[in-house]
Amino acid sequence: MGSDVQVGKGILFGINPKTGQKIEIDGVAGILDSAKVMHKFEVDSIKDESNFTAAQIATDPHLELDLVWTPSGESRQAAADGVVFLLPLGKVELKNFKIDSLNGKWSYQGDMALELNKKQAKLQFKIKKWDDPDQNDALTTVIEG
Amino acid sequence: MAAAHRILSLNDQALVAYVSRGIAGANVKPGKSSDDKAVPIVICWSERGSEDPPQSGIYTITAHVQVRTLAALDLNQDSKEPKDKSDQLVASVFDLFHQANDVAFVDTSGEDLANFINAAASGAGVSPYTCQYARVLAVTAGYDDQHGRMMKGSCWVDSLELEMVVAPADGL
Repeated sequence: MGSDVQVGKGILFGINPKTGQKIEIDGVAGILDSAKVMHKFEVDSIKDESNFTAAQIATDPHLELDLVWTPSGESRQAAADGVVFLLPLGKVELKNFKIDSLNGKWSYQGDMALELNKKQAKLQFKIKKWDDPDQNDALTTVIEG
Repeated sequence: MAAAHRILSLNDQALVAYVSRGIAGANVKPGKSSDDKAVPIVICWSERGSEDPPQSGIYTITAHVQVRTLAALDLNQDSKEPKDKSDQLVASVFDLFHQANDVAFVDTSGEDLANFINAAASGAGVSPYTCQYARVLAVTAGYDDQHGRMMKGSCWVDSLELEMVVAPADGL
């Protein structure tokens, strides 16, 4: 039963960095505007003789994170100079989210978009992180040479 | 830096510096001033600022540059004279916000106008302040029959509404 006097609860609000920290990602200079994370996996369904689903197998679970940034810097020129396109499938590291599963190594998955209009410029892209740490390590290790 | 976020007052002063530099001898005042505001006068008033992105120290401000000119006829004055004088001052002020920077067009980013305002503000000692973007949102015209009864009566009010992105820091 709830309390007869409503006193409130702690909630998750805003972009949610760790207290006193700025959310950072390698290679991107900016202010984070939004982050939307989705949990995804492949599903195979096994059907019975009447074509009803009898079992399911989930494989390759991973997170996909869509990020939107406002490019920024110590000056307007620095903000412009800081806009660079990431290396395809390159490793990026996210730091300082209060939600720990968002921190760590991610793989850049393309579709980096820079939107210029009559407002603040917006930079957006998608990154991916696998649930299995060994698989994630392997897929975020950039092979050089 | 403790006084940095009185951004609306800083923006008023920057606009006053810009209009004063552009029109020598004009009576230009910030909205927040205790001087007599006798017409003809240009009042620079920053009405509202929202911090965008949040917690960034960057404000998108709605500001007004209001040109108030005497509507009443004076003794021995031709009936066209107040209107002509009003149009002349309004045109001079409004044209300041449509200037080109050594090229044949006004830039599309609003950065040239911002830089003109920054140069005037810096010259007048308005600090800490940088305007990063400015554009004209609207022009309006009206009439105020209550403006300072001691200041010779009613006046026309022609206004520019501006959208400006500013920050309380120098040299951005």
